[in-house]
Amino acid sequence: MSIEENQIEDFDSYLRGMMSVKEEDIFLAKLDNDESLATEFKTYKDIQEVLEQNANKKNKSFLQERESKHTSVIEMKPRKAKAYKWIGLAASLLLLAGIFLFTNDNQVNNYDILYADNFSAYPNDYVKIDRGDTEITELKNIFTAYASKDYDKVIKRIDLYNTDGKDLQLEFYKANALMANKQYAASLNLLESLEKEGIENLENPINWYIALNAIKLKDLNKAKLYLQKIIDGTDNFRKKSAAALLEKL
Amino acid sequence: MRDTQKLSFEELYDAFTSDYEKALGLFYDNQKKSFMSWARARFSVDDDTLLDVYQDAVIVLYNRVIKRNTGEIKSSPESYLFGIAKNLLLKKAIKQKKTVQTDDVYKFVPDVGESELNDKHESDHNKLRIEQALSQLDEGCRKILELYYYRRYKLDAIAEQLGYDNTNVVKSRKYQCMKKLRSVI
Repeated sequence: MSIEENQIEDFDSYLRGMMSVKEEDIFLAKLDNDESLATEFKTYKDIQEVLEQNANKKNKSFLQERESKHTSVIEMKPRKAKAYKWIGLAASLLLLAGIFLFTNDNQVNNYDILYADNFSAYPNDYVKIDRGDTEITELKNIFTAYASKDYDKVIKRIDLYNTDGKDLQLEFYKANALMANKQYAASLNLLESLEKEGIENLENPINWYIALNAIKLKDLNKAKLYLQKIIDGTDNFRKKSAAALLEKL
Repeated sequence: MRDTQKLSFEELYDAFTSDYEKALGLFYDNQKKSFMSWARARFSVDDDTLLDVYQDAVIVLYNRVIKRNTGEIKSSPESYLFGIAKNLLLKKAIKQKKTVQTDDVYKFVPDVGESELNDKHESDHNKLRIEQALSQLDEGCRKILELYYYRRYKLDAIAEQLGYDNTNVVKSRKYQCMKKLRSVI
């Protein structure tokens, strides 16, 4: 482990409260006696503060988005019973129909909530270094749009850039953008074709997004099948989440 | 994940630092109804404002929990959440009532020395540079730093969420990202 790595480990341990009292005393004494270390530590703390500020904005928009999804849920109110027998019979029939509709509506909403609770677009881990300048700029454009959640632009730009669809990893990001853009069937088709092709290190992410699309499209058998694939796979991605989701289904 | 309705602070910490979106979302949903009835009975404020305050209160609580800053709190997470919301609502009410005359503004200017002002200016400048440097990292790096440093995820939870094979890969990726960030700053 390099000196820099050691330093980062020390900063992490201190800030996460993982040091013993003795270790903490030694660390603080080092900070007092080493000005460059103290400056480095100050920057390190500033980085955490900036990350917190950014993430707090994300937290707020996450809760606002959740709220706006929930307000669209239909609330059914109980109906008053009628005195007359024939009206009572009609009311019973209506009630039965109401229960049926209510259960179905709730089921739909439950799937929507399960989907919303579990979907977040796959983080951009797409790094290409052996490309010409123009291509790098175009890739940057695609992923800048991806980071700012401009999914329409992502889809259009990937279609223009990856016309033959040969860059499967890029197609995987397109499938994510389609999902985020509520084009579930199109995303599902694309993911299923990617699954057939097979992309190294993306097997479980592909299975995960197929399962989520299937939940949204209410194809529970397919969702269960792909969640089970994740659980049985060797990759760790979303293993626990898949098990938890499968239990709920 | 268990229903977040009756979790202790410690259990909430585990939930928030394993899958924050799910845990934060469930916690938000579970307390909302009782918060709204409680707040409507006590404050003559419209529902939009109440929801806005409720969201802010949930975020304040989330931050305290993930920073393990809850040791001295005697009440349950739910009561504590209502307490935060109550304070936020009172602050909002005071802010609205306060009408400050232009001349009075100067009375509120704190007596700050030049060196303190310089320190603040330098710190703001540093943060701006960090902000710019962060925007130059790839999304994967930004995510890993956010999950580790802000959301206090353990390495295995990051591996699970981002699909890394094991904690060693996460550790080395985190180190590379931090190194890259430092070099850009």
